[in-house]
Amino acid sequence: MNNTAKRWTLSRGVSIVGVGYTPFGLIGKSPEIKDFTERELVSMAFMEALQDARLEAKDVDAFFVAQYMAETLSSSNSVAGLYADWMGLRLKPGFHMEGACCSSTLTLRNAVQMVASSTADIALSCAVETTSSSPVPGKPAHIREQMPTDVLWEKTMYGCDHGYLYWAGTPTSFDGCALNYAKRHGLTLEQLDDVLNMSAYNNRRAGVLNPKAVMATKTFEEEAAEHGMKSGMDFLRSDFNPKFSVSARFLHCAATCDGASAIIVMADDLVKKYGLEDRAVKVAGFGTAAATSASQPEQYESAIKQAYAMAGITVPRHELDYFSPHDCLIARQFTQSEAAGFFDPGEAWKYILEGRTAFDGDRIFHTSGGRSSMGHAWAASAGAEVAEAVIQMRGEAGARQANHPINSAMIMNEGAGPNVNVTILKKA
Amino acid sequence: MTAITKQWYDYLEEGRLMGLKCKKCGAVHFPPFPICRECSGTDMEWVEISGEGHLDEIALVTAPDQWFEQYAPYYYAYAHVAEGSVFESMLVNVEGDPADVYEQFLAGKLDHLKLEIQKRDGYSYPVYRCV
Repeated sequence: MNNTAKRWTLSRGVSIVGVGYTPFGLIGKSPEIKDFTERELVSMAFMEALQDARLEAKDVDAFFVAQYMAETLSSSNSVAGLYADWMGLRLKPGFHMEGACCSSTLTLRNAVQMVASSTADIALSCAVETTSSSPVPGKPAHIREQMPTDVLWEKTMYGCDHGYLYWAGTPTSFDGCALNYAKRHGLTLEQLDDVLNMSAYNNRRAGVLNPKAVMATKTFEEEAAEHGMKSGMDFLRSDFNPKFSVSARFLHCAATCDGASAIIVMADDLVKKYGLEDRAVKVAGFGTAAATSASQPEQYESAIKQAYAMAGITVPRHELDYFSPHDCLIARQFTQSEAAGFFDPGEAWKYILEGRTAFDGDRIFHTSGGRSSMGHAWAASAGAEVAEAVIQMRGEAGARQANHPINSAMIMNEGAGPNVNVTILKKA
Repeated sequence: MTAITKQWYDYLEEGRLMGLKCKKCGAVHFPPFPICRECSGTDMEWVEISGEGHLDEIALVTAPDQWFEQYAPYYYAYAHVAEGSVFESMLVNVEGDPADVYEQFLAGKLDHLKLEIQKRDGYSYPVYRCV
């Protein structure tokens, strides 16, 4: 495999100047987004990003919209046009992109590239997904019906190789990377269980402090107390959190949900003109590796090398303050962070166990609550995690704000297996 | 270009494990692809592979998609074939208590794999056996 990264540079510097994401919840249940369709969700995220950037819709020159399963979950394809009218972007250049659960960092990359190539000054990357229900054929969009989980996952597996049938293994790639990691570093199954549980525990501690993580209402300590247990970790080890594979438990998994995210990017040379110096966070680098689902370690390496070459990062251990893992499978917290060099090999699990990767730790992961506690609205999650990183870098995260300056951040995303994206942000 | 996917399955139907070998650099692709991922060569020939494999990762699948429900629960292998390609598939002879299976995995007892061909409804497919 040719894994040597060329060093690409943007021909015009680009910064993120506005971010927004909706409450992540269930449109059939959560009061904050009750009865919303995809349209309201994506518009809500966009309006928040506009307000954040002190801009209006008319200022946006072009947009990219990410939605993984538009056909299945919205009975629609070609959704850029559909959402254009809703977002006040009618007749502007609009593009729909799909790369499974990293769709919204693909769209971010493309929005950045558009500005960097001077075919736009201000561009929008937005994303939406409604995973909790499905449209009813022939009925308006707000009328939806429950989608059985097995049908949902079957459709999700369309992201895997159909020609050679790799999707027979995808439902529990939960185990693969976790067990391999444990073997390499000599962890017993009990130790691995503690690490995975602690990852979920750390996520939840941040989630309950994030007003957007509406499904994370209780800490695991509170859950434990309610069930007469001594500690949150006891609760996570209990039958309330059953195992469904060798290592994975229910609460280690992504909580599928509904949500949207939006990111507005602007040419660096315009940031001062718009008076947005306080908003701007530079897009320093990105990397993307596409391959069949069986190629994960090589994909990680390729995408990371591309991004580091572009961002000029040589010692990630010292140059990155924040690492956002794509923890739809919570084991990714240690496999990805070590692949990225945010930790040395065999080191991440110890940091997780000691709570040092939690929002108030010294080597922190995402502070949103992650996919296990904030939830996972597939295409929209990657963009929401970029937004969360920007909020941290500006020091605007309130109760979940890191206790040390976040000057650089890496957001890593995986889409169903075939896509791996890395995005690097630096303080302007 | 030829119908590579169909040819691969046709060979499996005949009981043959075949990959595409790059005539330029010698890399063998199993399953097959028309452009060499090592050297970008396009001159390929079908070759029989040994069927030997090495386990990288193992997973227990308890709730697969409906097409594979009949096999569940099953262990699944992320593995390399001896010729170098990554090929993942079900493990047919690993079963039992997950903690025991993990102990075997740790001890390297599951490392050596051999591909065999499983007859399924309408097609045949390579699966791994621990040897």
